[in-house]
Amino acid sequence: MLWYKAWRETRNRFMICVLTLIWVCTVILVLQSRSRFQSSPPMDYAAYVWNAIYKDYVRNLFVVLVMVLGCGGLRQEQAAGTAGFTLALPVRRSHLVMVRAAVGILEVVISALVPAFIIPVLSRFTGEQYAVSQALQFAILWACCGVLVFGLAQLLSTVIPGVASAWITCFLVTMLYTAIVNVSELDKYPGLDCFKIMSGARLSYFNPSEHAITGPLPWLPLGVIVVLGAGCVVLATRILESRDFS
Amino acid sequence: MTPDYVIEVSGLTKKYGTVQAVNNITFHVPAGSVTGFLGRNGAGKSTTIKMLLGMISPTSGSGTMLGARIDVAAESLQARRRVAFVGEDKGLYPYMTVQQLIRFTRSFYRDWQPEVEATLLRRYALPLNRKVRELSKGMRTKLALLLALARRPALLILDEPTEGLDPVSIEDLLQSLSGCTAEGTTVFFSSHQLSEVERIADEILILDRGRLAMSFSMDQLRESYRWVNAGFDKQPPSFEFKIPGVEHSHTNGRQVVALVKGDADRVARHAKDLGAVSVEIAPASLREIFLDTVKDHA
Repeated sequence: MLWYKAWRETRNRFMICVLTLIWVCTVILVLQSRSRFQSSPPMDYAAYVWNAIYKDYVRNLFVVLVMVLGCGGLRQEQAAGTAGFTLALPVRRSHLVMVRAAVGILEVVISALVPAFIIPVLSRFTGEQYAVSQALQFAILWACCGVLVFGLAQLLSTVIPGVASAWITCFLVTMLYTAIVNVSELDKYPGLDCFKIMSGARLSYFNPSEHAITGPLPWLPLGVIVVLGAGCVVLATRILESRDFS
Repeated sequence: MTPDYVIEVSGLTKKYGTVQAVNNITFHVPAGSVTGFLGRNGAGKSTTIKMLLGMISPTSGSGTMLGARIDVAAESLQARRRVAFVGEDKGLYPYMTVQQLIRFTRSFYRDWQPEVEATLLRRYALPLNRKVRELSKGMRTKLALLLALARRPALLILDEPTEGLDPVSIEDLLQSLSGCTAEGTTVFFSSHQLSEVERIADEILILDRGRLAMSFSMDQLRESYRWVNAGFDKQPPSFEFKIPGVEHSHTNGRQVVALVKGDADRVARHAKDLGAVSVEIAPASLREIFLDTVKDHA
Protein backbone atom coordinates (compact mmCIF):
# COMPACT_ATOMS: atom_id res chain seq x y z
CA MET A 1 0.00 0.00 0.00
CA LEU A 2 3.01 2.31 0.17
CA TRP A 3 2.86 2.28 -3.64
CA TYR A 4 -0.69 3.53 -3.43
CA LYS A 5 0.32 6.28 -1.00
CA ALA A 6 3.20 7.39 -3.25
CA TRP A 7 0.89 7.37 -6.25
CA ARG A 8 -1.79 9.38 -4.45
CA GLU A 9 0.77 11.93 -3.32
CA THR A 10 2.16 12.46 -6.82
CA ARG A 11 -0.89 11.72 -8.93
CA ASN A 12 -1.96 15.32 -9.49
CA ARG A 13 1.53 16.52 -10.27
CA PHE A 14 2.05 13.62 -12.68
CA MET A 15 -1.24 14.35 -14.47
CA ILE A 16 -0.30 18.03 -14.78
CA CYS A 17 3.10 16.98 -16.11
CA VAL A 18 1.69 14.63 -18.75
CA LEU A 19 -1.13 16.97 -19.81
CA THR A 20 1.29 19.91 -20.09
CA LEU A 21 3.63 17.89 -22.29
CA ILE A 22 0.74 16.69 -24.47
CA TRP A 23 -0.60 20.22 -24.79
CA VAL A 24 2.73 21.86 -25.65
CA CYS A 25 3.75 19.12 -28.11
CA THR A 26 0.33 19.35 -29.78
CA VAL A 27 0.51 23.13 -30.15
CA ILE A 28 4.03 22.92 -31.59
CA LEU A 29 3.06 20.24 -34.10
CA VAL A 30 -0.22 21.87 -35.11
CA LEU A 31 1.55 25.18 -35.75
CA GLN A 32 4.43 23.52 -37.58
CA SER A 33 3.61 24.59 -41.12
CA ARG A 34 3.35 28.27 -40.14
CA SER A 35 6.44 28.24 -37.92
CA ARG A 36 8.69 26.23 -40.18
CA PHE A 37 8.27 28.44 -43.23
CA GLN A 38 8.51 31.69 -41.25
CA SER A 39 12.00 30.78 -40.10
CA SER A 40 14.94 31.73 -42.22
CA PRO A 41 15.95 29.53 -43.94
CA PRO A 42 12.76 27.40 -43.83
CA MET A 43 13.27 24.23 -41.79
CA ASP A 44 12.44 20.70 -42.77
CA TYR A 45 10.05 18.85 -40.50
CA ALA A 46 12.71 16.83 -38.62
CA ALA A 47 14.71 19.99 -37.92
CA TYR A 48 11.60 21.76 -36.68
CA VAL A 49 10.66 18.91 -34.32
CA TRP A 50 14.19 18.63 -33.03
CA ASN A 51 14.61 22.37 -32.46
CA ALA A 52 11.23 22.95 -30.88
CA ILE A 53 10.86 19.75 -28.89
CA TYR A 54 14.07 17.86 -28.34
CA LYS A 55 16.58 20.69 -28.23
CA ASP A 56 14.83 23.54 -26.51
CA TYR A 57 11.35 24.36 -25.24
CA VAL A 58 9.82 21.01 -24.50
CA ARG A 59 13.08 19.50 -23.26
CA ASN A 60 13.49 22.37 -20.79
CA LEU A 61 9.84 22.09 -19.81
CA PHE A 62 10.31 18.35 -19.23
CA VAL A 63 13.28 18.99 -16.94
CA VAL A 64 11.30 21.55 -14.95
CA LEU A 65 8.35 19.16 -14.65
CA VAL A 66 10.59 16.30 -13.53
CA MET A 67 11.85 18.57 -10.74
CA VAL A 68 8.22 19.02 -9.69
CA LEU A 69 7.76 15.24 -9.67
CA GLY A 70 10.93 14.75 -7.65
CA CYS A 71 10.10 17.18 -4.88
CA GLY A 72 8.20 15.72 -1.95
CA GLY A 73 8.58 12.92 0.55
CA LEU A 74 9.00 12.67 4.30
CA ARG A 75 10.41 16.16 4.81
CA GLN A 76 7.41 17.63 3.03
CA GLU A 77 5.14 15.34 5.05
CA GLN A 78 6.72 16.82 8.14
CA ALA A 79 5.73 20.28 6.95
CA ALA A 80 2.21 19.01 6.24
CA GLY A 81 1.96 17.32 9.66
CA THR A 82 1.55 13.75 8.41
CA ALA A 83 5.12 12.52 9.02
CA GLY A 84 4.23 11.26 12.51
CA PHE A 85 1.58 8.93 11.12
CA THR A 86 3.89 7.66 8.37
CA LEU A 87 6.88 7.13 10.66
CA ALA A 88 4.77 5.25 13.22
CA LEU A 89 3.95 2.63 10.56
CA PRO A 90 6.00 -0.57 10.82
CA VAL A 91 8.06 0.33 7.77
CA ARG A 92 11.72 1.22 7.37
CA ARG A 93 12.42 4.78 6.28
CA SER A 94 14.55 3.46 3.42
CA HIS A 95 11.53 1.49 2.19
CA LEU A 96 9.41 4.66 2.22
CA VAL A 97 11.99 6.54 0.17
CA MET A 98 12.60 3.72 -2.28
CA VAL A 99 8.91 3.20 -3.00
CA ARG A 100 8.45 6.95 -3.46
CA ALA A 101 11.46 7.02 -5.81
CA ALA A 102 10.28 3.98 -7.78
CA VAL A 103 6.86 5.52 -8.38
CA GLY A 104 8.47 8.86 -9.27
CA ILE A 105 10.92 7.31 -11.72
CA LEU A 106 8.10 5.39 -13.39
CA GLU A 107 6.26 8.69 -13.79
CA VAL A 108 9.41 10.27 -15.25
CA VAL A 109 9.72 7.44 -17.78
CA ILE A 110 6.05 7.75 -18.78
CA SER A 111 6.46 11.53 -19.12
CA ALA A 112 9.52 11.00 -21.32
CA LEU A 113 7.44 8.73 -23.53
CA VAL A 114 4.74 11.36 -24.08
CA PRO A 115 6.50 13.06 -27.02
CA ALA A 116 7.37 9.64 -28.43
CA PHE A 117 3.66 8.87 -28.74
CA ILE A 118 2.39 12.33 -29.60
CA ILE A 119 4.89 13.25 -32.32
CA PRO A 120 4.48 10.22 -34.64
CA VAL A 121 0.69 10.22 -34.23
CA LEU A 122 0.13 13.96 -34.73
CA SER A 123 2.64 14.12 -37.57
CA ARG A 124 0.32 11.95 -39.64
CA PHE A 125 -2.57 14.31 -39.03
CA THR A 126 -0.48 17.24 -40.24
CA GLY A 127 0.63 15.37 -43.35
CA GLU A 128 4.17 14.75 -42.14
CA GLN A 129 6.18 11.71 -41.11
CA TYR A 130 8.22 11.18 -37.95
CA ALA A 131 9.75 7.79 -37.24
CA VAL A 132 8.60 6.07 -34.06
CA SER A 133 12.12 4.67 -33.62
CA GLN A 134 13.56 8.22 -33.58
CA ALA A 135 11.00 9.36 -31.02
CA LEU A 136 11.66 6.32 -28.84
CA GLN A 137 15.41 6.89 -28.89
CA PHE A 138 14.93 10.46 -27.72
CA ALA A 139 12.53 9.13 -25.06
CA ILE A 140 15.33 6.87 -23.76
CA LEU A 141 17.72 9.84 -23.57
CA TRP A 142 15.09 11.92 -21.75
CA ALA A 143 14.15 9.16 -19.35
CA CYS A 144 17.76 8.49 -18.30
CA CYS A 145 18.56 12.17 -17.79
CA GLY A 146 15.16 12.58 -16.12
CA VAL A 147 16.22 9.98 -13.53
CA LEU A 148 19.21 12.16 -12.61
CA VAL A 149 17.09 15.31 -12.31
CA PHE A 150 14.51 13.37 -10.30
CA GLY A 151 17.20 12.01 -7.97
CA LEU A 152 18.62 15.49 -7.47
CA ALA A 153 15.14 16.85 -6.64
CA GLN A 154 14.58 13.97 -4.18
CA LEU A 155 17.91 14.63 -2.52
CA LEU A 156 17.24 18.34 -2.17
CA SER A 157 13.76 17.56 -0.85
CA THR A 158 15.29 15.66 2.05
CA VAL A 159 17.34 18.63 3.19
CA ILE A 160 14.99 21.50 2.33
CA PRO A 161 11.49 21.61 3.83
CA GLY A 162 8.60 22.68 1.61
CA VAL A 163 7.97 21.56 -1.97
CA ALA A 164 8.37 25.07 -3.42
CA SER A 165 11.69 25.75 -1.66
CA ALA A 166 13.08 22.38 -2.74
CA TRP A 167 11.95 22.95 -6.32
CA ILE A 168 13.45 26.45 -6.49
CA THR A 169 16.75 25.17 -5.08
CA CYS A 170 16.76 22.30 -7.58
CA PHE A 171 16.11 24.77 -10.40
CA LEU A 172 18.98 26.99 -9.26
CA VAL A 173 21.36 24.02 -8.91
CA THR A 174 20.45 22.91 -12.44
CA MET A 175 21.05 26.42 -13.78
CA LEU A 176 24.42 26.51 -12.04
CA TYR A 177 25.30 23.11 -13.52
CA THR A 178 24.32 24.31 -17.00
CA ALA A 179 26.44 27.43 -16.60
CA ILE A 180 29.45 25.41 -15.44
CA VAL A 181 29.34 22.86 -18.26
CA ASN A 182 28.98 25.65 -20.81
CA VAL A 183 32.07 27.62 -19.85
CA SER A 184 34.62 27.59 -22.66
CA GLU A 185 36.92 25.02 -21.05
CA LEU A 186 34.20 22.45 -20.48
CA ASP A 187 32.12 23.31 -23.53
CA LYS A 188 34.60 21.26 -25.54
CA TYR A 189 33.17 18.16 -23.86
CA PRO A 190 29.45 18.15 -24.71
CA GLY A 191 29.15 14.71 -23.11
CA LEU A 192 29.44 16.40 -19.73
CA ASP A 193 26.23 18.32 -20.40
CA CYS A 194 23.24 16.19 -19.51
CA PHE A 195 20.96 18.47 -21.53
CA LYS A 196 23.09 18.09 -24.65
CA ILE A 197 22.91 14.33 -24.16
CA MET A 198 19.11 14.66 -24.12
CA SER A 199 19.07 16.51 -27.43
CA GLY A 200 22.10 14.87 -28.98
CA ALA A 201 23.52 18.25 -29.97
CA ARG A 202 27.20 18.04 -30.92
CA LEU A 203 27.34 14.40 -29.93
CA SER A 204 28.46 11.54 -32.16
CA TYR A 205 25.16 9.63 -32.23
CA PHE A 206 23.30 12.65 -33.57
CA ASN A 207 23.44 13.68 -37.21
CA PRO A 208 22.95 17.46 -37.36
CA SER A 209 22.22 17.56 -41.06
CA GLU A 210 19.37 15.06 -40.75
CA HIS A 211 18.40 16.19 -37.23
CA ALA A 212 18.17 12.55 -36.30
CA ILE A 213 19.87 9.97 -34.13
CA THR A 214 21.86 7.88 -36.55
CA GLY A 215 24.51 6.30 -34.36
CA PRO A 216 24.15 3.93 -31.41
CA LEU A 217 22.88 5.51 -28.19
CA PRO A 218 25.60 6.35 -25.64
CA TRP A 219 24.74 3.52 -23.28
CA LEU A 220 27.74 3.96 -21.02
CA PRO A 221 27.15 7.68 -20.30
CA LEU A 222 23.43 6.96 -19.93
CA GLY A 223 24.23 4.20 -17.45
CA VAL A 224 26.46 6.57 -15.50
CA ILE A 225 23.69 9.18 -15.47
CA VAL A 226 21.15 6.66 -14.17
CA VAL A 227 23.61 5.46 -11.51
CA LEU A 228 24.18 9.07 -10.44
CA GLY A 229 20.41 9.57 -10.17
CA ALA A 230 20.08 6.36 -8.13
CA GLY A 231 23.02 7.53 -6.01
CA CYS A 232 21.12 10.73 -5.20
CA VAL A 233 18.14 8.61 -4.07
CA VAL A 234 20.40 6.40 -1.93
CA LEU A 235 22.02 9.47 -0.40
CA ALA A 236 18.56 10.91 0.30
CA THR A 237 17.70 7.62 2.04
CA ARG A 238 20.82 7.77 4.20
CA ILE A 239 20.07 11.36 5.19
CA LEU A 240 16.47 10.53 6.07
CA GLU A 241 17.47 7.49 8.11
CA SER A 242 19.57 9.59 10.43
CA ARG A 243 17.28 12.62 10.57
CA ASP A 244 15.20 13.50 13.62
CA PHE A 245 11.53 14.17 12.97
CA SER A 246 10.66 16.38 15.90
CA MET B 1 4.88 -13.93 28.21
CA THR B 2 3.93 -10.30 28.81
CA PRO B 3 6.82 -8.28 30.23
CA ASP B 4 6.28 -6.44 33.52
CA TYR B 5 7.02 -3.14 31.87
CA VAL B 6 6.13 -2.20 28.32
CA ILE B 7 8.31 0.91 28.39
CA GLU B 8 11.59 1.15 30.26
CA VAL B 9 13.70 4.24 29.93
CA SER B 10 17.02 4.94 31.59
CA GLY B 11 18.95 8.21 31.50
CA LEU B 12 17.26 9.23 28.28
CA THR B 13 18.52 12.57 27.06
CA LYS B 14 17.93 14.66 23.96
CA LYS B 15 19.93 17.78 23.27
CA TYR B 16 19.40 20.27 20.45
CA GLY B 17 22.61 22.28 20.46
CA THR B 18 22.77 23.73 23.94
CA VAL B 19 19.09 23.12 24.66
CA GLN B 20 18.27 19.98 26.63
CA ALA B 21 14.79 19.01 25.51
CA VAL B 22 14.88 15.85 27.62
CA ASN B 23 17.35 15.58 30.45
CA ASN B 24 18.40 12.23 31.83
CA ILE B 25 14.96 10.78 32.53
CA THR B 26 14.38 7.32 33.91
CA PHE B 27 10.95 5.71 34.23
CA HIS B 28 8.99 2.60 33.42
CA VAL B 29 5.42 1.94 32.37
CA PRO B 30 3.79 -1.20 33.81
CA ALA B 31 2.03 -3.55 31.41
CA GLY B 32 -1.75 -3.18 31.46
CA SER B 33 -1.69 0.29 32.99
CA VAL B 34 -3.01 3.62 31.83
CA THR B 35 -0.13 6.03 32.36
CA GLY B 36 -0.60 9.78 32.17
CA PHE B 37 2.42 11.74 31.03
CA LEU B 38 2.06 15.29 32.27
CA GLY B 39 4.00 18.47 31.79
CA ARG B 40 3.73 22.02 30.60
CA ASN B 41 4.19 22.97 26.96
CA GLY B 42 7.81 22.37 26.02
CA ALA B 43 8.44 20.08 28.99
CA GLY B 44 9.72 17.37 26.67
CA LYS B 45 6.70 15.06 26.51
CA SER B 46 6.43 14.92 22.72
CA THR B 47 10.20 14.59 22.33
CA THR B 48 10.18 11.62 24.72
CA ILE B 49 7.29 9.99 22.85
CA LYS B 50 9.05 10.51 19.52
CA MET B 51 12.23 8.98 20.92
CA LEU B 52 10.21 5.95 22.01
CA LEU B 53 8.80 5.62 18.49
CA GLY B 54 12.17 5.98 16.78
CA MET B 55 11.35 9.32 15.17
CA ILE B 56 14.08 11.07 17.15
CA SER B 57 17.43 9.56 18.15
CA PRO B 58 18.36 9.99 21.80
CA THR B 59 21.56 11.94 22.47
CA SER B 60 22.31 9.53 25.32
CA GLY B 61 20.60 7.01 27.53
CA SER B 62 18.63 3.95 26.57
CA GLY B 63 15.11 2.70 26.41
CA THR B 64 13.03 -0.27 25.42
CA MET B 65 9.48 -0.48 24.17
CA LEU B 66 7.88 -3.93 24.37
CA GLY B 67 11.38 -5.26 24.96
CA ALA B 68 12.79 -3.72 21.77
CA ARG B 69 15.58 -1.16 21.99
CA ILE B 70 14.30 2.19 20.78
CA ASP B 71 17.62 3.25 19.24
CA VAL B 72 18.03 0.13 17.09
CA ALA B 73 16.08 0.65 13.85
CA ALA B 74 15.32 -3.03 13.25
CA GLU B 75 14.05 -3.58 16.80
CA SER B 76 12.07 -0.35 16.77
CA LEU B 77 10.41 -1.53 13.54
CA GLN B 78 9.40 -4.81 15.20
CA ALA B 79 8.00 -2.95 18.21
CA ARG B 80 5.97 -0.60 15.99
CA ARG B 81 4.04 -3.60 14.67
CA ARG B 82 2.50 -3.86 18.13
CA VAL B 83 2.34 -0.17 19.01
CA ALA B 84 -0.27 2.33 17.91
CA PHE B 85 0.38 6.05 17.99
CA VAL B 86 -2.03 8.93 17.85
CA GLY B 87 -0.08 12.15 17.39
CA GLU B 88 -0.84 15.57 18.74
CA ASP B 89 -1.79 17.04 15.37
CA LYS B 90 -3.73 13.94 14.23
CA GLY B 91 -1.92 14.33 10.91
CA LEU B 92 -3.60 11.85 8.60
CA TYR B 93 -3.30 11.90 4.83
CA PRO B 94 -5.74 14.63 3.78
CA TYR B 95 -6.07 13.33 0.23
CA MET B 96 -7.45 9.95 1.26
CA THR B 97 -11.04 9.19 2.17
CA VAL B 98 -11.83 7.57 5.50
CA GLN B 99 -12.29 4.23 3.75
CA GLN B 100 -9.04 4.53 1.80
CA LEU B 101 -7.09 5.41 4.92
CA ILE B 102 -8.56 2.46 6.82
CA ARG B 103 -7.67 0.13 3.94
CA PHE B 104 -4.19 1.63 3.74
CA THR B 105 -3.49 1.26 7.47
CA ARG B 106 -5.01 -2.22 7.66
CA SER B 107 -2.50 -3.48 5.08
CA PHE B 108 0.38 -3.04 7.55
CA TYR B 109 -1.07 -5.08 10.40
CA ARG B 110 -1.78 -8.79 10.20
CA ASP B 111 -3.80 -8.79 13.42
CA TRP B 112 -6.25 -6.14 12.26
CA GLN B 113 -9.66 -6.71 13.87
CA PRO B 114 -12.46 -6.10 11.34
CA GLU B 115 -15.11 -6.38 14.05
CA VAL B 116 -13.39 -3.66 16.13
CA GLU B 117 -13.19 -1.54 12.97
CA ALA B 118 -16.91 -2.03 12.30
CA THR B 119 -17.87 -1.32 15.92
CA LEU B 120 -15.84 1.87 16.09
CA LEU B 121 -17.06 3.02 12.68
CA ARG B 122 -20.62 2.74 14.00
CA ARG B 123 -19.84 4.31 17.36
CA TYR B 124 -17.91 7.23 15.90
CA ALA B 125 -20.28 7.67 12.92
CA LEU B 126 -17.37 8.28 10.55
CA PRO B 127 -18.36 9.05 6.93
CA LEU B 128 -16.49 6.46 4.87
CA ASN B 129 -16.46 8.39 1.62
CA ARG B 130 -15.43 11.74 3.01
CA LYS B 131 -11.86 12.91 2.53
CA VAL B 132 -9.78 13.34 5.68
CA ARG B 133 -9.22 17.01 4.85
CA GLU B 134 -12.98 17.54 5.08
CA LEU B 135 -13.26 16.04 8.59
CA SER B 136 -13.46 18.15 11.74
CA LYS B 137 -10.65 17.85 14.27
CA GLY B 138 -12.90 15.72 16.46
CA MET B 139 -13.67 13.38 13.58
CA ARG B 140 -9.97 13.16 12.69
CA THR B 141 -9.18 12.21 16.27
CA LYS B 142 -11.86 9.52 16.17
CA LEU B 143 -10.49 8.20 12.90
CA ALA B 144 -6.94 8.18 14.31
CA LEU B 145 -8.24 6.31 17.32
CA LEU B 146 -10.05 3.80 15.14
CA LEU B 147 -6.87 3.17 13.16
CA ALA B 148 -5.01 2.69 16.43
CA LEU B 149 -7.51 0.47 18.23
CA ALA B 150 -8.61 -1.75 15.34
CA ARG B 151 -5.24 -3.48 15.33
CA ARG B 152 -5.58 -4.23 19.06
CA PRO B 153 -2.10 -2.95 19.93
CA ALA B 154 -0.07 -4.07 22.93
CA LEU B 155 0.75 -0.43 23.57
CA LEU B 156 -1.24 2.65 22.63
CA ILE B 157 0.65 5.93 22.76
CA LEU B 158 -1.30 9.16 22.49
CA ASP B 159 0.09 12.67 22.44
CA GLU B 160 -2.48 15.20 23.69
CA PRO B 161 -5.43 13.12 22.46
CA THR B 162 -8.17 15.41 23.77
CA GLU B 163 -6.69 18.60 22.31
CA GLY B 164 -9.38 20.49 20.39
CA LEU B 165 -12.18 18.02 21.12
CA ASP B 166 -15.65 18.93 22.32
CA PRO B 167 -16.83 17.52 25.69
CA VAL B 168 -18.86 14.72 24.11
CA SER B 169 -15.91 13.59 21.99
CA ILE B 170 -13.64 13.75 25.03
CA GLU B 171 -16.06 11.53 26.92
CA ASP B 172 -16.09 9.04 24.02
CA LEU B 173 -12.32 9.05 23.90
CA LEU B 174 -11.91 8.54 27.64
CA GLN B 175 -14.34 5.63 27.56
CA SER B 176 -12.43 4.06 24.69
CA LEU B 177 -9.13 4.47 26.51
CA SER B 178 -10.47 3.06 29.79
CA GLY B 179 -11.79 0.05 27.90
CA CYS B 180 -8.43 -0.60 26.23
CA THR B 181 -6.74 -2.19 29.21
CA ALA B 182 -9.47 -4.83 29.41
CA GLU B 183 -8.35 -5.91 25.92
CA GLY B 184 -4.74 -6.15 27.10
CA THR B 185 -3.57 -2.80 25.76
CA THR B 186 -1.31 -0.57 27.82
CA VAL B 187 -2.09 3.12 27.37
CA PHE B 188 0.56 5.82 27.61
CA PHE B 189 -0.72 9.30 26.97
CA SER B 190 0.34 12.88 27.42
CA SER B 191 -2.22 15.48 28.34
CA HIS B 192 -2.82 18.90 29.82
CA GLN B 193 -6.32 17.94 30.95
CA LEU B 194 -5.62 16.95 34.55
CA SER B 195 -9.21 16.07 35.45
CA GLU B 196 -9.32 13.60 32.55
CA VAL B 197 -5.98 12.11 33.49
CA GLU B 198 -7.16 11.75 37.07
CA ARG B 199 -10.25 9.89 35.86
CA ILE B 200 -8.57 7.21 33.81
CA ALA B 201 -4.88 6.98 34.71
CA ASP B 202 -3.35 4.42 37.05
CA GLU B 203 0.15 5.82 36.87
CA ILE B 204 1.40 9.39 36.59
CA LEU B 205 4.68 10.79 35.30
CA ILE B 206 5.27 14.52 35.59
CA LEU B 207 7.90 16.00 33.32
CA ASP B 208 9.16 19.52 33.90
CA ARG B 209 11.75 21.29 31.78
CA GLY B 210 12.98 18.01 30.40
CA ARG B 211 13.40 16.35 33.79
CA LEU B 212 11.20 13.76 35.41
CA ALA B 213 9.85 15.76 38.34
CA MET B 214 7.53 13.14 39.87
CA SER B 215 6.35 9.61 39.31
CA PHE B 216 3.60 7.91 41.30
CA SER B 217 0.52 5.77 40.98
CA MET B 218 -2.98 7.13 41.47
CA ASP B 219 -3.36 4.71 44.40
CA GLN B 220 -0.31 6.29 46.00
CA LEU B 221 -1.81 9.71 45.36
CA ARG B 222 -5.05 8.79 47.09
CA GLU B 223 -3.44 6.90 49.96
CA SER B 224 -0.14 8.63 50.58
CA TYR B 225 -0.09 12.19 49.34
CA ARG B 226 -1.33 14.87 51.74
CA TRP B 227 -0.98 18.58 52.13
CA VAL B 228 0.26 19.71 55.50
CA ASN B 229 -0.61 23.36 56.03
CA ALA B 230 1.12 24.79 59.10
CA GLY B 231 0.40 28.30 60.42
CA PHE B 232 2.98 30.16 62.51
CA ASP B 233 2.74 33.39 64.51
CA LYS B 234 6.08 34.56 63.17
CA GLN B 235 8.06 34.09 59.92
CA PRO B 236 8.18 30.29 59.59
CA PRO B 237 11.43 28.36 59.03
CA SER B 238 10.59 26.75 55.69
CA PHE B 239 14.01 25.05 55.39
CA GLU B 240 13.09 23.05 58.50
CA PHE B 241 10.55 21.23 56.35
CA LYS B 242 13.16 19.63 54.15
CA ILE B 243 12.75 16.31 55.91
CA PRO B 244 12.11 12.79 54.62
CA GLY B 245 8.57 12.40 53.30
CA VAL B 246 8.22 16.04 52.24
CA GLU B 247 8.22 16.17 48.45
CA HIS B 248 8.19 19.96 48.31
CA SER B 249 7.32 22.81 50.59
CA HIS B 250 6.84 26.53 50.18
CA THR B 251 6.20 29.47 52.44
CA ASN B 252 3.21 31.74 51.97
CA GLY B 253 3.36 34.57 54.47
CA ARG B 254 3.25 32.91 57.87
CA GLN B 255 2.17 29.59 56.50
CA VAL B 256 4.21 26.67 55.29
CA VAL B 257 2.53 24.35 52.83
CA ALA B 258 4.20 20.96 52.37
CA LEU B 259 3.32 18.14 50.05
CA VAL B 260 3.92 14.96 52.00
CA LYS B 261 4.25 11.44 50.75
CA GLY B 262 3.67 8.92 53.50
CA ASP B 263 3.24 9.80 57.16
CA ALA B 264 1.59 13.24 57.15
CA ASP B 265 0.99 13.04 60.92
CA ARG B 266 4.71 12.88 61.54
CA VAL B 267 5.24 16.04 59.47
CA ALA B 268 2.34 17.69 61.33
CA ARG B 269 4.00 16.81 64.65
CA HIS B 270 7.27 18.20 63.33
CA ALA B 271 5.49 21.45 62.44
CA LYS B 272 4.06 21.67 65.96
CA ASP B 273 7.51 21.05 67.42
CA LEU B 274 8.74 23.99 65.35
CA GLY B 275 6.07 26.17 66.94
CA ALA B 276 3.16 25.97 64.49
CA VAL B 277 -0.02 27.40 66.04
CA SER B 278 -2.30 25.56 63.59
CA VAL B 279 -1.78 22.45 61.45
CA GLU B 280 -4.18 21.08 58.88
CA ILE B 281 -3.85 17.87 56.87
CA ALA B 282 -5.78 17.69 53.60
CA PRO B 283 -5.86 15.19 50.74
CA ALA B 284 -3.94 16.22 47.61
CA SER B 285 -5.48 16.20 44.14
CA LEU B 286 -3.54 15.53 40.98
CA ARG B 287 -4.12 19.11 39.85
CA GLU B 288 -2.63 20.49 43.06
CA ILE B 289 0.36 18.18 42.92
CA PHE B 290 0.98 18.97 39.26
CA LEU B 291 0.73 22.73 39.70
CA ASP B 292 2.86 22.62 42.82
CA THR B 293 5.48 20.47 41.09
CA VAL B 294 5.86 22.56 37.97
CA LYS B 295 5.72 25.80 40.01
CA ASP B 296 8.29 24.38 42.38
CA HIS B 297 10.68 23.65 39.56
CA ALA B 298 10.10 26.96 37.75
